[in-house]
Amino acid sequence: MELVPCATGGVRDMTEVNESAESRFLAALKVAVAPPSVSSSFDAPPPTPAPGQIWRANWASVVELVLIRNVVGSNVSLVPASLDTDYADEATLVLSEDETSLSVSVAIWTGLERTLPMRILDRFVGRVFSDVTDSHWVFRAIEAERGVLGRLAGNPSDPLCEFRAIIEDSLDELAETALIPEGDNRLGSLIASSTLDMDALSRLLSIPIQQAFNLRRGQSPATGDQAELLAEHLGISVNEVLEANPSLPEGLITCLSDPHRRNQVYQLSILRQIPEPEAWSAAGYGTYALAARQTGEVEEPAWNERLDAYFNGILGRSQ
Amino acid sequence: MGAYEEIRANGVGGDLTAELLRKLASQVVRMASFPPPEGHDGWNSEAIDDLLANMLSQPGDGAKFILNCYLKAIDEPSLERLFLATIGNYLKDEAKSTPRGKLRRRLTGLMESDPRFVRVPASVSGTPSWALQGGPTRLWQGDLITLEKAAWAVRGASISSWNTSGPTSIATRTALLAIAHAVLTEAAGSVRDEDIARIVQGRFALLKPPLFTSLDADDFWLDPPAPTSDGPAEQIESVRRAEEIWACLSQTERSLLPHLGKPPREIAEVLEIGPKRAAVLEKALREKLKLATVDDHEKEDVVKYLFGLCQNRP
Repeated sequence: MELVPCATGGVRDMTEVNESAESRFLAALKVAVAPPSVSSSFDAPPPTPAPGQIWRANWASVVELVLIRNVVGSNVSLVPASLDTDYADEATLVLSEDETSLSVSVAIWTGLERTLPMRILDRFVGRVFSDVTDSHWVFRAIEAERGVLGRLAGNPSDPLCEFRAIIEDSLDELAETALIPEGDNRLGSLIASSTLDMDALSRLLSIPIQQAFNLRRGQSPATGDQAELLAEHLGISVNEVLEANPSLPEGLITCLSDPHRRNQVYQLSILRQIPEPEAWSAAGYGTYALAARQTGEVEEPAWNERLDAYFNGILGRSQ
Repeated sequence: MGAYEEIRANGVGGDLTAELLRKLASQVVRMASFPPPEGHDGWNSEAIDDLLANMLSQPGDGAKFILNCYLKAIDEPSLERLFLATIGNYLKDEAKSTPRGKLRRRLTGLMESDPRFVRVPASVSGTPSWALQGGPTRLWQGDLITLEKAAWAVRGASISSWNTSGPTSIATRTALLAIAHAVLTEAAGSVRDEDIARIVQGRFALLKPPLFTSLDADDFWLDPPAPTSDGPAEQIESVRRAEEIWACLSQTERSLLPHLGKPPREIAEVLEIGPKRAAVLEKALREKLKLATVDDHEKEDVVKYLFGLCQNRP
C-alpha cells in the first residue's frame, strides 16, 4: 500500500486513487439520488397552494425554492428556502432532515418573508412537517429541537451578508417581473388619435368591424398578437400597447395564476417561442378579449371555462 | 437528450450527466490555477474523476448536489451553471483547506512561543483551550458572535499571502496574534482551540464556501495572487501598502473600487449583479479598506495609490 499525504493532514492510499477514480466517481454519482417523494411530487399535477408546502418559484429565469406560509387570493406569503445551510443568518431556521419531505436539512429564511403573486409558483417540491401558520412556529421548532437558527454576521465583510443579498435580489426580481401591467385603459384614445379608422383597424387586425369598434371605444383589450400589429403601426412598444389596455379582471388573474395553469402557459411559450411571462400576459389578454366580445361587460364570465377554451383553441386538446 | 433530461427523468445522474460533469470540471480547472488532487501530477482524466468522486462523496453534500440540480435547473444551460458553481466552490474549499490547516498549525506554534498566552489543559477546562497569561481560565460559555465581533474590531490586521513556505512573515504573525489576543481579552477566560481557529478563519475569509452559490469573497481563491515580494528597500511605504491591499482584492473588488460611494443601482449595473448584492459588496469593500488602513499614518497616500492601480491595471 502506498500512502501519500492529504491537504487535510491525513494520508491516502494511492492504489485507491489509481485504480478506482472512474469507478468511485460513477458509484458516487449513482447513489446521489433525488428522494422518490420529491420526484413523484415534482411531476404530478400540482396541489392547490397551501401553507407548509415547498415550491419552486420560477419566473423570467429567476429560480428559488420557497415555503408557503399563507395564501391570500392570487397571492402567497412565502419565505425563501435553500439547501445551502451553512450560510443561514440569525433569523433563518435550519430544519433538520427529518422535518421536511426533502430528507435533507433545509434553511428557511424566515427574515425574508414577503407576499408575491401565486403565478411564480412553478413546481410542487414537498412540505415542512410543522404548522407554519402559527406566528410562533420558528420558536416552537427550536424549542422542540426540530431546527436551529443560523448565525449573526460578524461584520459587513462576512460572506453571509452577500449570500443573503443574493436571495433578496432574486426575490426582488421575482416581485418586479411578476407584476402585471396595470392597464390604464388608454387604448381607445391611442387608436383614435392615430390614422386608423374603423375599416383600417379591422383590416390591420383581421377582425370584424364590431370588434374593431369595441377596441376603439376601449371596451375590449388587445391580445398579444394584436398588440404587436398595433405597436408596429403606432410606433410604440408592444408593452406600451398592453399597458394601455383595460386592467385584467381580478377573477381572471386569480384563475390564470393557479399553478394548475402553469403547464399550459409553458406550452404556449414554447409554441410561440416567447418567454413565459409574455405567454402569461398573452393568455390573460387573449382570454379577456375573447370574453369581452362574447359577453360584453354585463357579467363576470366563468374565467376557468374561458381559459380552458382559450388554451384548447391554441394548444389543442392533447395538452 | 442531455444531462438535464436525464436527471429530470430518473432523479439521478447517468452517462450524460457524468460526461457533462467531466467536461465542466475540465473547463473550471483550465480557467483557474487549482492544484490537482493528491497523487496526480496534472489535470488528466483520472484527476478529474478523482475530483468529482471526492466532491460527490462528501457526507451529506453529495445527496444535496443532485437534489439541488433536480429542483433548481430549468433547462440544460441552467444545469450547467449549477454544475459549474458547485465544482468551483468545491475547488475553492479545497484550496482554502491548505491555508486553513496551515493557519491552525501556525497559530498554535505562535501562541506557544508568545508569553502573553497560556495553554489551559483539558483537565482544567474540559477541552484544550487558550487563555491570557495571568488571566482567568474559566471556559468561555457565551455566544461566539461576541468573540467574532471582537476579532473583527481589530484594525490593520490583514494577510495577503498564504502560499509562502518557510517561517510565518512578521505581518501574518502580528495579524494572527492580534486577533487571538483580542478574542481572549473579550472572553476574559479560556477559549477552545477550535473556536479560536474558527473565529480567525472567519476573520480572514477562510470559511468553507457555500455548496451551490458563488460568492465574490471566494472568487479570490479562483486564482490566488502570487505572494507580494518585499520589493526594493527604497520603495515608498505607502506604495508597498497599497500593493499589498491590491493583492488581497478579488477581481470584482478591483472593478468596484472606482465606484465606491455610488448608489447600489449604479454599482449593480457596472458589476451586472443585483442591487442588494452590490450594496453589500460596496459596504464590505469599504470596511475592508478601513480595516487595512485605519492605523496607517499615510492612509491618504495608500488609498490614492490604490485608486491609481484601478486605472493602471484594469
